[in-house]
Amino acid sequence: MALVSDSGKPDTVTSGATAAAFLRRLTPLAGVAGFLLLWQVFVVAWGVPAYLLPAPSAIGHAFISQLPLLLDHGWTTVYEMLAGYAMAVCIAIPLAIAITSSRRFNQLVMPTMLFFQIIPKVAIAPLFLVWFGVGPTPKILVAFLISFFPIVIDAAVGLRSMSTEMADLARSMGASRWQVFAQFRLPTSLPYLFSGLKVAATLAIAGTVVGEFVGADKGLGYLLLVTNSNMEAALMFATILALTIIGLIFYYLVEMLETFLIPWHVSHRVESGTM
Amino acid sequence: MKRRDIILSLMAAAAAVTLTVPAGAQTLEKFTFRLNWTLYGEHAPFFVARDKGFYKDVGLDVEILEGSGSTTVAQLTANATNPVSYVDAATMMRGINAGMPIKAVGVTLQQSPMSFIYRADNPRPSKIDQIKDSRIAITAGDASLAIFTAFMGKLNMKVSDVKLITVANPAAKEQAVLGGQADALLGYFMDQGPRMQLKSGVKMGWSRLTDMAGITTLSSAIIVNNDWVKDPKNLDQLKRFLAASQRGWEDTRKNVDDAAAIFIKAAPSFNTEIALLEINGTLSITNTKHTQGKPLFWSAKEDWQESQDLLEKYAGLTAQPDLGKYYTNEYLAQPPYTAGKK
Repeated sequence: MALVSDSGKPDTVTSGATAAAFLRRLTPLAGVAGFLLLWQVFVVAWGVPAYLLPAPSAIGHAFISQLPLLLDHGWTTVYEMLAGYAMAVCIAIPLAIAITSSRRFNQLVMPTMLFFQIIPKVAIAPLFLVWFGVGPTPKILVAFLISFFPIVIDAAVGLRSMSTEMADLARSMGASRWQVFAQFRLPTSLPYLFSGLKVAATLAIAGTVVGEFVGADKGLGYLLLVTNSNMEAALMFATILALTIIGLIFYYLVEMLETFLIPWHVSHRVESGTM
Repeated sequence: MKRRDIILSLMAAAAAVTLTVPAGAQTLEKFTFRLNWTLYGEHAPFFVARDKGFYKDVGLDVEILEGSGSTTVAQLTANATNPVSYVDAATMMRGINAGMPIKAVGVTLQQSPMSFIYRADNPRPSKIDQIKDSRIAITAGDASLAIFTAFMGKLNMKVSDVKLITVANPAAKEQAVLGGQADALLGYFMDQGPRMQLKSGVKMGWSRLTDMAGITTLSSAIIVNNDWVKDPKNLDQLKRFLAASQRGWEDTRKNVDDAAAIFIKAAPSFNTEIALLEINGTLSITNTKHTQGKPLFWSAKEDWQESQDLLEKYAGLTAQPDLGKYYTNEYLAQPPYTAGKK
């Protein structure tokens, strides 16, 4: 029994669908392009002085002509950010496991952790400058402190989210304590963990820049301050653009890792209307 | 009869009150003046004008606010948050180059006090060959980059030839040098040098950029927002402020000890010795050879031209065909500066 064949119109349907999908992908770009155009017209038509708001064309020109400089300082900031983030991941996840395994440990550690989270990083960064100088260490520490808490909290919530039914199921199948953890609790926690990792990814770049603002001789945060001092507004905006690009790339890298590790999760289910 | 008595006694009372009001007790107009930096000896003459009543004599209640760097403060004047402020002239020139609607109405320091300031036990850089790869601390937004870029240019070097360390605030700049994270800071010889020695007990030394490479530009100036000054009411206030300030600077030169005492009241962390050192250092650089004998704050076209030439040649400044874009002397008072007294 043959199903109703739609062979009558194969190519136009698929090419039409592809074109529509392509145009849909362009919509965010169109939004950005429209915004930039509006900005350019506004600056040129109203004669806005460069130090107040440079035109996108000037920013683009500064970005391209100073790319080596931006890459050089960008590498420093990226290195500091990744080191701080990696430290946060390596410490936060075991800590989350320890917190969820032992109530006493949780009560012991949680208040101190909360205390360090509440302290504004802007307030302690100058102390780091005095203790550790102007090298990468204070920036890595600030990036670590700012990324640490979201990862710990979300990992802990995730580790606690395994339902009792699943625990019963696991035990009824004769799983050891370790197997329950590694094959049931841990995978269940991954979606929550990645939520924390993504939040921390966006915070890490901000923490690194705060650290650089307090005292630095390299990095995009340092470059922001120097270009402001030299009244080079276009290059300053180009630096902000570079920071944004770094943040976006890092966020999407973490999201790609999430898709790879937990493709089965509801957040990656593709909407399809044909089934 | 009773009603008439009441009205008469009320009228008598009103007459008595108006007649006994002292002549000079009209309400003073509020006026805000933003300084370039945290308080140091160079600012003493403004406090003299305030505490000896010169501002009150011209009907102004002047509030003197600290700043955090000439670039930052110039931006505050450019956006009219603080339409009258005190910044480094070379920094102002770069600001005008970038489109800021500001102008100098009086130049108090006409030679540059910019210096490398370092610990005496690590006097680097005190010679030109020590400059390369030195770690130099600046506060982002302070006055140093304008003249430092010209200084390095004149020596055929670039700013990137030193390790420039930016820190968040004026105090951090000093901490960086005291703590050994930087070799030297860029500051004024009559500001950080004596003050750091006083506060920390560590012996400090300094090398003036003008001694090392003959680089000097016009330095501290009173600047205004061009749009703010178009309003006649504001202009009148400005002229009175300038006249009283000129009186304050003149009085400081004649009575340095008074000035030191007044300054210490405003900045209690200073002592008499350091205050005097800083005030005397300040008074030594108020004029150039072109402005000898001229009224206080009066600046010469030749000096503006020299500053512009230097910054154009070594710091990428675009020359203004009309130097009048940078400054005007027309609002200044003539000696004896009490013309505006009410």
